[in-house]
Amino acid sequence: MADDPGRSRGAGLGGCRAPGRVGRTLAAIAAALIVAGCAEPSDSYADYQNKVQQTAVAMISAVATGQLASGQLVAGRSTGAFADAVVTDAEKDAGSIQTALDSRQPPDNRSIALKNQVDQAVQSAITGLADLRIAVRRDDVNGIRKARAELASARKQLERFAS
Amino acid sequence: MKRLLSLALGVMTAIGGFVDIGNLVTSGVTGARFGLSLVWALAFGTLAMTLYGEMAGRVTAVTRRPVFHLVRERLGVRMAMINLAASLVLNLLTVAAELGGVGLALYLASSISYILWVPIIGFLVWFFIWRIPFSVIDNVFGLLGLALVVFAVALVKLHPNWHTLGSEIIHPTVPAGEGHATWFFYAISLVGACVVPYQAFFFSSGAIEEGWSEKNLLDMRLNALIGFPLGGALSLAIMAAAVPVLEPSGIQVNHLGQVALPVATALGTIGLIIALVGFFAATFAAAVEAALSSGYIIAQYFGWSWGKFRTPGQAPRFHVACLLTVVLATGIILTTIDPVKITVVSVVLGAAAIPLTFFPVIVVANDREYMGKHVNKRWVNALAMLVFCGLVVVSVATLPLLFWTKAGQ
Repeated sequence: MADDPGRSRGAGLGGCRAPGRVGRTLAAIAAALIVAGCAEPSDSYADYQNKVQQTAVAMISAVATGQLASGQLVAGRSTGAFADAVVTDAEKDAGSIQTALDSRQPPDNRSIALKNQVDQAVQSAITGLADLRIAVRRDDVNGIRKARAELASARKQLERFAS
Repeated sequence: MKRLLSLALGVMTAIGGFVDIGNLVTSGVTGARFGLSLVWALAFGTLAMTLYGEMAGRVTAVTRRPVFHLVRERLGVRMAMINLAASLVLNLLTVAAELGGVGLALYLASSISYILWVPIIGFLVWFFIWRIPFSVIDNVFGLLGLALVVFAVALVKLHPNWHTLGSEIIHPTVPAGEGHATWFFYAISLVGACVVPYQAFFFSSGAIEEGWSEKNLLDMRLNALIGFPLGGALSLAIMAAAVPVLEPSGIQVNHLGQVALPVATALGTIGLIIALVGFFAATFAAAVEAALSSGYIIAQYFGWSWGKFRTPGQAPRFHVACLLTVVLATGIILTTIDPVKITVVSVVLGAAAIPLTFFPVIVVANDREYMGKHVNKRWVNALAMLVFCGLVVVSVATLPLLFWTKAGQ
């Protein structure tokens, strides 16, 4: 072996086969992962309120990311490409968060009223992030400042639902 | 000088293998969400990987045979086959995640979609495996990967409340608003990001590529004992830098770009560029290592000729296995599945599979027939068994926590 370290000893499997159990286990894991990623329906106002809270927290994260990345760009502490990438990702996240909220069925009238309220805040955040992305790509400092003000306002609205 | 050069293998494994997309993502996510309350999991993972790497390296240096081949010989064909299958699946996911990570690093530098970069990166990874000498990859990426030290510099420049950080490490508690299950799920993801089987296979096979023998035991130990903890320290710096910047802003890390935001805050454009270079080097080196690792373990299991020092003509099946791994992984990323999600799945599934590869290494390291006077010392065995028990708990808890927390939501 010392003369030929790359050659393994004991070659030959004698007709060994991979156990079918391994394949079935992997398939079960894959199926379970897919199920784990699915959203479950809300069956009460409290449950729906909890989902709205999670939505607001996630949306605040996207807004804060846009604010921080654009603030760094305006201060000359970042590159345009980096800020563009980070803001674009934040905007995509915001879109996904909105889609996830829309896909949930409000269980009663109170939940519908709550949805209408949070929808406004979510929409403001998405608009703000889209405006920010456009301004960053155009290297438009005034546009960035305006979009940051929109995001600050959207964040305030979202914070009402997050606590 | 010779000692310093031999340490480079350990440094590369630490940076390119230890700090890879898994560490970058999990450290950023946990720092932003849980502060430093999960440092214990990072410390445990680093200890486990250091022990594991040292044993794997020692087994290789003494027997001059790679670990996976000894595992097959010592534990039998069937047991080793399960080990091989689990390791190959994990390696494939890891290579896919790393390719995505390189693509994301280039996306952050250029704002050109990572998907467009991935085929080029896949080609480059294969080209490096095929044409570039082991020592060149070792030295170049070892040095470039050290760019991640910028996170430690950024942390100092951010002037965090050191007392609070220290208190979070010493008295870890679940932050308000977070569930215990979610907290433990992320603890497992940190352990899974630290203890990655491909690193041990790469470390042991790489030692043979470099012609190590019993004479190199001291070098190997220095590499494992310095390289892996250095990787753990870098992960800690990434985690800690997120605390004063991302946590107060309410930013939850979903993308690689968010991990770099604290560096830009602290050090500006130069620091950001250095961090992106570090991202690129760590993920590219890890992609090469994980793809090579797939080739190593398949060839060692089936008894094929293997090694980067052999041309494709001399070790065709080994090179084809590496190539297939890269091609399949590139295909996975091109389906547009989010690389960060692949990363989380791969580290969590990796955590569940760790005992499969950790246990055989302990067995072989205790076999006097193979190891002679270099068998595990009693205190090493005691520590290794304690760590192994912890890894079994991690393994058993992984899937229930994955479903219970809906993958950490």
